[in-house]
Amino acid sequence: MMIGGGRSSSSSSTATAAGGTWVSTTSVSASGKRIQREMSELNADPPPHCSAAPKGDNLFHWVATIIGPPGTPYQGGIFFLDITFPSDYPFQPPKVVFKTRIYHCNVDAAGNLSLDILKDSWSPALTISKVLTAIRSIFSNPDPYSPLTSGVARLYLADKAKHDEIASEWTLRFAK
Amino acid sequence: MIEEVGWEHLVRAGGDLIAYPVILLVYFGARDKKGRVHVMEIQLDKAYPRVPPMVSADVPYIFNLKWSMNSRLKNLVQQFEKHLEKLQAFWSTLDEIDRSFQIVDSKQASRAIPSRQIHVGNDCFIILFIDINDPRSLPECRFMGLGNTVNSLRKTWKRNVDKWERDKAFLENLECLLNTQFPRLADEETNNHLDECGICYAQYLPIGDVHGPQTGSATDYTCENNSCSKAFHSMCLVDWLRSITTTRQSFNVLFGNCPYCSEPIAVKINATKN
Repeated sequence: MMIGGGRSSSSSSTATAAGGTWVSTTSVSASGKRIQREMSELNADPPPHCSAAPKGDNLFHWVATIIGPPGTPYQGGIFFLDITFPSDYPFQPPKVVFKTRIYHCNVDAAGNLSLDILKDSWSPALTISKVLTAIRSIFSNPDPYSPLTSGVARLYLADKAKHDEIASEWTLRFAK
Repeated sequence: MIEEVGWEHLVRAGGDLIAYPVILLVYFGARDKKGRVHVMEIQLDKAYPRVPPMVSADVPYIFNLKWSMNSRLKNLVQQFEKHLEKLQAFWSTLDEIDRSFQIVDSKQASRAIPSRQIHVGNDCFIILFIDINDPRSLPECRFMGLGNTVNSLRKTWKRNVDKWERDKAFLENLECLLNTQFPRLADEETNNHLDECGICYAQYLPIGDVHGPQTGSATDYTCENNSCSKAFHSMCLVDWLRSITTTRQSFNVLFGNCPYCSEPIAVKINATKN
């Protein structure tokens, strides 16, 4: 027997089990505690070239920055991201959106990014720290085979030099 | 004004120091004999020094400020230091308790709070209220937890109350009075990684109705893969497995994968839940 209606794309807190609706029993306070722990661990041992902290009083809404890695067209750029934790975190992945424009085949114009660990490959074993590290690694290694902006992906595959030129121009314009 | 007490004591000043505002915040860090740092917040009124400053600090009670027209900030700091001195024995006792017991919500256990909530084991807690003026004396004790266990603890406590000795360590005294062994405060590092749930990051489930019979319980499931051995609350694992599509269920057992090592796991759904 199969259970669970699957994680819908909206961050709904319920999943439909066979024979009824199942609601997570883990309270918001438990999510809050875990986020708090992640926050103190992130402060103590931040991943390289990344930072993240709650935006204001709301523990479930964070701002993060990633510095573009050297040797990439994003080098030296400061990229801001918005992180929203669902109330049933860590059962659902956090929602991460780029606030800084970036020329990258896995990020669309609205800042949404395609990253498997923020969708189907999410696991409660992951943390914001690991998510930021993963995002930083797609700066160096874009995945043109599951793109959000197919034009950028096509250029990346066909003419990488031209792609990098535009990307570093965007970095200069929007991220510095 | 601040020079008198030394700029090195100033932690942070708020407001506008030059324009002489209505309210000015000055923080002083004072170090007591044991090296504990205390912060005092001083609020100066526009009418200072005619109006005495308002003072707050991380102390269980604030001293009665003696203030006159000729008083200065230095006098205030002296009075604060004297007050700290009076509280030394109390804080030494608090430190001893924090070192030897598993404190619930240890982050919130501040020096200003004269009580501590301690794990006794078996889902039971005691709350100790330390006498600020006589910290080595028998503390007032409140019991929390399951009815039967708590009742027997309370009876044991009452029977043994005379055995309290003010020169003995708190841990020794309490173990004698309650006739039980307290969960040891294991090495922070091993403690963190062995007993914490890999999902909610807490050792114990929160206490509340939604958790039913498992309220407040410790981790009760360990991944069988020896190189993983991650601990979980079965309740958190069930919640996780139920939120993904790849999980299968047979009778009351959920089959899925460990969120950490991806090895297959099987978790029983608590029959009494819902």
